[in-house]
Amino acid sequence: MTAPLTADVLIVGAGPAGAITAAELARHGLRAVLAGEEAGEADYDLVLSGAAMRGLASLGALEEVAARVVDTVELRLGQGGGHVLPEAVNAACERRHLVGGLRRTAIAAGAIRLPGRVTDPERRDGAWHASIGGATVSARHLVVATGAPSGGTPHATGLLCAQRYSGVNLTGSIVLALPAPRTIDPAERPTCVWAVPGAQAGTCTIGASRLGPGDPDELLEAARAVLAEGDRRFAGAVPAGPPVTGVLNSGFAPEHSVHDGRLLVGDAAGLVNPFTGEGLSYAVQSALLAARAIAAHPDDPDAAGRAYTRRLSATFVGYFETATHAARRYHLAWRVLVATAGDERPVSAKVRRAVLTPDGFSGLTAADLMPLPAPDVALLGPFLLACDEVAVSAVRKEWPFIARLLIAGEHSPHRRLRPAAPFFAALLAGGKPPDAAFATLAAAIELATLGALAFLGPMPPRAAPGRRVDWAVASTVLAGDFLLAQASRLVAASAPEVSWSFADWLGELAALRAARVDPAGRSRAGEVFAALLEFPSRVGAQLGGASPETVRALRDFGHHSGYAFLHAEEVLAVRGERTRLDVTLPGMLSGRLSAIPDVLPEVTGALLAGDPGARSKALDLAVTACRDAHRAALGALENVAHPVSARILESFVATVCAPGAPAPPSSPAGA
Amino acid sequence: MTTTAADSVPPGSVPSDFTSRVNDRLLRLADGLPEPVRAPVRTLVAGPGKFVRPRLLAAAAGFGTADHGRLVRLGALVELIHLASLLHDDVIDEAETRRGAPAAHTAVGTEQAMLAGLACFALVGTEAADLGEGVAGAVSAAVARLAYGELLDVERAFDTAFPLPAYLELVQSKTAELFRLCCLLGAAEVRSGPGEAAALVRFGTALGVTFQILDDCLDLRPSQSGKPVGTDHALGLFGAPTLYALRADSGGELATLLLSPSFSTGDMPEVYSLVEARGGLEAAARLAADWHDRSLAALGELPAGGPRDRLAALAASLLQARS
Repeated sequence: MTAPLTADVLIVGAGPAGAITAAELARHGLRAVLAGEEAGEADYDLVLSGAAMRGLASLGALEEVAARVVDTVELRLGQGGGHVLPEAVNAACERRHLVGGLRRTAIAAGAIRLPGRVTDPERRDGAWHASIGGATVSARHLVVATGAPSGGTPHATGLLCAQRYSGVNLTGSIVLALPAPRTIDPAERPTCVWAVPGAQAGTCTIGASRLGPGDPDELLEAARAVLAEGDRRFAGAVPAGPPVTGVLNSGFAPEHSVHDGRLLVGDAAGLVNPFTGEGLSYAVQSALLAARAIAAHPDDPDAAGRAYTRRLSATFVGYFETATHAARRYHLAWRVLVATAGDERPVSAKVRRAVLTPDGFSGLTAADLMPLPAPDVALLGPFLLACDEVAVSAVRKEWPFIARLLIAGEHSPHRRLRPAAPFFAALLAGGKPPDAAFATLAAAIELATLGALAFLGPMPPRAAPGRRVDWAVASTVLAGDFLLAQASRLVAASAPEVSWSFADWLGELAALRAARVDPAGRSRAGEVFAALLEFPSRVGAQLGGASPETVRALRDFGHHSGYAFLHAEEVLAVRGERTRLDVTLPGMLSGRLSAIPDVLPEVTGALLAGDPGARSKALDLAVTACRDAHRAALGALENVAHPVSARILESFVATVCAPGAPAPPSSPAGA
Repeated sequence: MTTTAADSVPPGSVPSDFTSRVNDRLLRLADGLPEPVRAPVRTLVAGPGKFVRPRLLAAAAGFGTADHGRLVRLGALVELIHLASLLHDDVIDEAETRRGAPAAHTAVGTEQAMLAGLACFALVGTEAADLGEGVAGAVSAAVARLAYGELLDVERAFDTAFPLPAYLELVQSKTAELFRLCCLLGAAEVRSGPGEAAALVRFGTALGVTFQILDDCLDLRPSQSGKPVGTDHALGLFGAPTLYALRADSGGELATLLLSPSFSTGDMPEVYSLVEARGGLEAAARLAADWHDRSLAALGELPAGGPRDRLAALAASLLQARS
């Protein structure tokens, strides 16, 4: 018997989560032992989401795992035809390559790999002890990455299957399907189906997940049938390998992620999307968080555990932390997703993305980031982080999926295009550093903006008559009422002096939209958006103690920024690009959101038909209107003396208007 | 009746013109809304209402001296919260009629009805803020709870296994919360002591739960209230008697009937006999009696006298109309 091996961290389980933890720890200079048996299961292809790819890239492991970029994700919800999820960057890779590549990455970084069965680690004298094969290991920290436990909480436990197929014509896309419920009975559980192209032409992996008990063979056959229905690419699919079956455990709760001093990562922590069964993104992210928490507290396992729990809780929003309502709320989310499948309204598109994809997401924007100098970021950043924390905690317990709409994942939350940014800048305009307590009001403004969008977008069509809930309409009302009520509650509790103006703002939004929708109404399209952004600027300036002239200037700034926002949406929509609100051109026109039909009623039909002449006219109109609004907003800023305030606002409106900005000069400008 | 000093109400009495003044106030509030959100709100306000919530608020304020003008505004405020919820509930449930008239969404369309409801909630916010920080805080917390109750109510549709604790959470959030708010605002308005206010709030909650359980029973059998039978069952919203019966539905007959796609209110006699045979009505009556006892216990903690008697009489008449 050899002398015991002493390490900083013992990682039990050498799958993706374990190997990433070991690699990241070794990169931080810690001695990490990666222990565990070789998995003997058959190989299959899996999806690497954008979030997983970013995590792997940070370790330099993307090439090592032989990831193949797949350009398109096709989403098939309910009975409707599929549609492409815009701007979803994914990759596919084989599980064997993934595990092998990540282990090589860990070893190359300096981790020690001990294959073999691991005895149950025991904690004695402040260290963990275990034996692996013939070796014994002692380590201060223990990370458990042994996959999903079989006995989870019933509401969050289910079945996960995958199998390779040949005779399939799937090349450039991943297919994700969530079939419609068959009954009105909420006891029915959703099944999610996906297909990933294989490395060899004509092959793919078909997978399925389902909450609740089930039979793997039946589930896989149902998955194949769902995909083949109306999709010829799967018509000739025949199994090309044995089925692989696992436990689906999505029972994540931050406080259960550290168990008796063991840090649980990946599937072991229940970090799996209950709808899609996707767990790899979460495995990558939780492994990195665990490694970084340990690296921050190398000598104090308890502190490392606390730091890990805290980071998980901030990162993984959108999960049920208590089981009480989970099953019913999953059912609600499923019904809503399917009922709004063909729906082009902003809120539906955002909910789809937030619930089904692992990437974080924010309320108002797509991916635009405001350019800001570092000192401004240092000022704005902590305020917006506090704002996010309040907003998320106001809704996460009762409606966690909505909480996912409020966070931006690992993207820079302080540089996102969001109403809290002009609110902060307006607070600053009075000259005093903003009171951190106003972060709660900022959170209320953001929740209210999201809630207002539920009511201000185009309405979903009514569902076909029958004995059912009209989920599309019902969820619009529920989400809107819920968010606005939470926002009002935060205002009354944190800034009672603005309770009246806040409620008045909501009334104004309702009235403006109602006047816009009314066929006899004469309200301009931009007024709703102007009111949406005018309030944060105005009220921020008032609370920050700005002079009456500055308050007026900021009110005008917000007003023009709102117009600019709408016209920038039009520019994106006419160009066929993804808009900030995820709304399409037909959606904007039929929902009476756009100003184009008001000015150019004669081109609307041709525009929808894709006529280039009409497109060019509409684009000119929108670009001009966007630039005019931009200029007007900048004009208002001339009366804002505070330099940082003006700089943040300038950057905000410039980012809003970026789609309508003149093309950058082809050569560096001389002057 | 002779009026005392200008506009103050002596302890224990609710002026006879209270509900008509509340109604006038509501009409004025509705008239202050801009078109086109005004019309559906105006129609709803002008319809027949029983003013259950304003009367409860006024009775809860009976334990001290209230300013009559403020009491009227507070009464209108709680009624307005109720009306705003009705506008949105009718959109969700696709109700055909409300208070004897076509429901707002059938008259002005889904989107305008939704926006009218939003405008009403906003009006609740400004009116509450006008009445003071305490009112705004209590109202916003209650409205948040109501919105959560609305969510619970939709997601449990067609759930034949809806557990009783979840049902009680729903009832407390959706119905009893507003009863509770009426008592809370009434107590706060006349600066009741903490013990008295706490008892009033518990009374309001228990009364609200009792009220809802009896209301659920009305969906099963015709009564003098004139409420149409079976509407909730058709929507998949099964109340206390049916939920109790479903727990004893070992053969699954009741559940199968309730989940049938062709179910209609015409099936209600059969539902009634299945629920009755499974002891559902009896169990619901016991649950209602239990909550009624709780309301009486809370009432017992209040000082004896005219105000308490009037509150008890109001509660009894509300429950009487439900049975």
